[in-house]
Amino acid sequence: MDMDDALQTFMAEGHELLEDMENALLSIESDPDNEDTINAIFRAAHTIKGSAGLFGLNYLVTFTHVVESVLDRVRAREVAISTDLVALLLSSCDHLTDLMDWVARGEDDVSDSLARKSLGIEENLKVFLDTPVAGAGEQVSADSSAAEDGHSADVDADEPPVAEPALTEKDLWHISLRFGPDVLRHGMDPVSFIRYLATLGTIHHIETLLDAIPDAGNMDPETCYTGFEISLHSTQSKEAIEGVFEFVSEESQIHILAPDCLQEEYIRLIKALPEEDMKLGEILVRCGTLTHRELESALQQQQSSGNSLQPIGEMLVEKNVVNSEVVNAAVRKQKTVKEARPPEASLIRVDADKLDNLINLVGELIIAGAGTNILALRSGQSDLIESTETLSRLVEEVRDSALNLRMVQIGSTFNRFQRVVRDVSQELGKDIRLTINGGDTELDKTVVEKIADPLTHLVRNSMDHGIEAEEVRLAAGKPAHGSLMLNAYHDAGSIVIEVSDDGGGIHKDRILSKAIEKGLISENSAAAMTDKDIFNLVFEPGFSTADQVSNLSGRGVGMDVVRRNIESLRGTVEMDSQDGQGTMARIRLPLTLAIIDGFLVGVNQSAYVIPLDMVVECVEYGAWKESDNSHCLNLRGEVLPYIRLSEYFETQNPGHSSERESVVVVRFGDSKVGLVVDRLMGEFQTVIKPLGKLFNGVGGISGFTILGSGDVVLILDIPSLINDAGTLLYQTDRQAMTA
Amino acid sequence: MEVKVTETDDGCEIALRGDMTIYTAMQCKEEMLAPLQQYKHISVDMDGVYEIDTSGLQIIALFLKESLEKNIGVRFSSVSEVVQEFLDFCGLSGILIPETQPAAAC
Repeated sequence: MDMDDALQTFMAEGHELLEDMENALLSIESDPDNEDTINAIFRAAHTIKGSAGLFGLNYLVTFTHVVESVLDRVRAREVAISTDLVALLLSSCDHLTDLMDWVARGEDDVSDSLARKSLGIEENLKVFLDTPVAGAGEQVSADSSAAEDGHSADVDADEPPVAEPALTEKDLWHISLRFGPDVLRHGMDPVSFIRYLATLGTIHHIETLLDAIPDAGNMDPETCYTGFEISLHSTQSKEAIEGVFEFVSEESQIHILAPDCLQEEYIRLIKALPEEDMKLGEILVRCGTLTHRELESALQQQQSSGNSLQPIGEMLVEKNVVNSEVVNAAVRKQKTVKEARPPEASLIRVDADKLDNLINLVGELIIAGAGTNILALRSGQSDLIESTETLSRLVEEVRDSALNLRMVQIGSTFNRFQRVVRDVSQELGKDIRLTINGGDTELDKTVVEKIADPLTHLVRNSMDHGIEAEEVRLAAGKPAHGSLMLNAYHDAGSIVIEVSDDGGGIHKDRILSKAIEKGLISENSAAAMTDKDIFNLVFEPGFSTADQVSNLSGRGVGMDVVRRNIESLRGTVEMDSQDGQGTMARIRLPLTLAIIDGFLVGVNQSAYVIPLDMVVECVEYGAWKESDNSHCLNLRGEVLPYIRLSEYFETQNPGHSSERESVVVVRFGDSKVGLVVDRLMGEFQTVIKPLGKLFNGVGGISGFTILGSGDVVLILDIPSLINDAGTLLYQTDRQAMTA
Repeated sequence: MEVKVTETDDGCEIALRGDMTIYTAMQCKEEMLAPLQQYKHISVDMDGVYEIDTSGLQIIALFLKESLEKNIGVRFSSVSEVVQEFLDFCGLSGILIPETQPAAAC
């Protein structure tokens, strides 16, 4: 009876469903006739209502019911999709998220503000319930949806909808329930099912049957002895009513008789139930499903048709027929649900810790495997070498698939911005369209989670400051609607995310004057700055050029936080802009994998690992040597700064001179640098181990790894080396000048 | 769940406090039925019951049934709103008629 776990699952699923619903709502605006999308939205609301009903979250059910009713009319083409409706449904979606959070907090009462919001949205939604049918007016369905307005079931019970013909007894469903003995033990309360049933229509009458309770000595208080006979007025289908009892259908006897079913069915029901015929008959009369006269004639008919009572076998068969219908319907339902579900819903939830643990183990496996390889090579047994090679190949595959488990597509994060762009553009009164590219680019889940905030800021910034007002755009000969683009792709071992707009671009002069005014730079240094340097000034703390401070951005507290957040992910961010053409913010993040393909190089006695993705090529040093002091190489006419690793790490052995030094050319972003090493030792699967706190201040290294031989080697931090190469170049120039 | 039995002039009073759900059903049945062995007049106070489910209903029904068989006079002095609403929903509004024997539904 662990309801907490079940509730957790419900919350997780609920949030997922709401996300799906939101995405579908956003896409429906541009494609209002897409039936699949409409159905997806309806299904999401319906599922949330159903699950909430099971947990007795009546408040949630009541609210969702109104949403669902409106969606039902949309589905039936009685209400057309409009911007207003989508906006309203989106706010319903938000409100449902708030309500879910309220459930998660476990508070008993709904706060006033939430309750007020519920009422407000419900009022607005009801407008769509009351409007006449779009197109040829089919009044009946409009009224029926009002009639099934379940949350007001208690109120409505006495006053049937006006246009509906007065309830006749024959309009009632009859539902007969004998719950299984273990239902209570399984954590389900029969009455809560009936309360949920009440949301599908109006309960006309309930008879609670307690006859089955044995005497005190034999009565087990945890066993369910209770049965119910219910008459219900509802326009729902039989499947929908059956669906209410889906969770107890296996262990319980459930008979659902449609309003138009034949008298014989009632007789059969009376026979099938454990209570006395006469008593049941009277209950049916009380429920309003049978009249007295009908009952009498039916019972007479039953008696006259044979003192030969219906053989038990036949009755069972009949009962089976009913059951198989139920089973078939359930199977059909499950099938359609399965087919209709979007592919991501077929995922398995796994604790992230378990994945981390697996990846750690794979790391250890790689290290141990490398050790075995060395031993095999040393032994010189060819068959042993061959088998260890097969083993390493398999380990490599295991590594790749283990790492893949943590990778998620950035698309779902990007899609969230559809909503942001929609809301913000309405707020700003600008028409802005968002284009998404590279949504299938994968990156580590933790990175995806942490990148959402900085991205939101950049997107809002572009919309607020970047894209101009419509008149300005038209005057500049641009289309009236602004375009915003999110793009993601892999590049040299990192992932690049670009946020670009086709707005006015960054005004260099404004930035410079502002930066000088704020004392960020001096006037002298301003003259020497490149365009890129100037644009990147916007990331300085306390910088803002907006003429007007809006509530979105312009307070100058944002961009430096964006940069800090990205840097905390070991990434970089830079601005690029063309006056009048637009601006682009480019974020570059490491894939932050625990295991990478490395390139092993030797310098004197030590070895270093360079991430293989960043290696461009290897050339012989001697052939390119220009002068000993320049720290620059001529690589096919290109100036290539280089770092001699032995000097950089001061591992140099004065008497030592390698016969043949090599240059490994590495690239990060647009910059290239050469690393001079003594030996090239080839590819190596590298398990990244973080360095201890002691090494925090040490530049040029990002971690360490363990070789098969047990030796510890350092992993080079290429971005910081590239940065240092520039400084080194500058220093040698100065040395040359002073010398 | 707390079942407090206090002796009165002609019998006893059972005061129920807490939830009458599947979680407390075992205890509730035992403690609520025990006085039926000793007293001829029992007054039940259900004002403090803030949650009830089908198992609670079954215990009330059992209590009524047993008292009827043993010819014990039962009176429900007060019933909390939650319980009354639950009984109303189940169509059992009349089950706890004060001072009389249980109704036909049982």
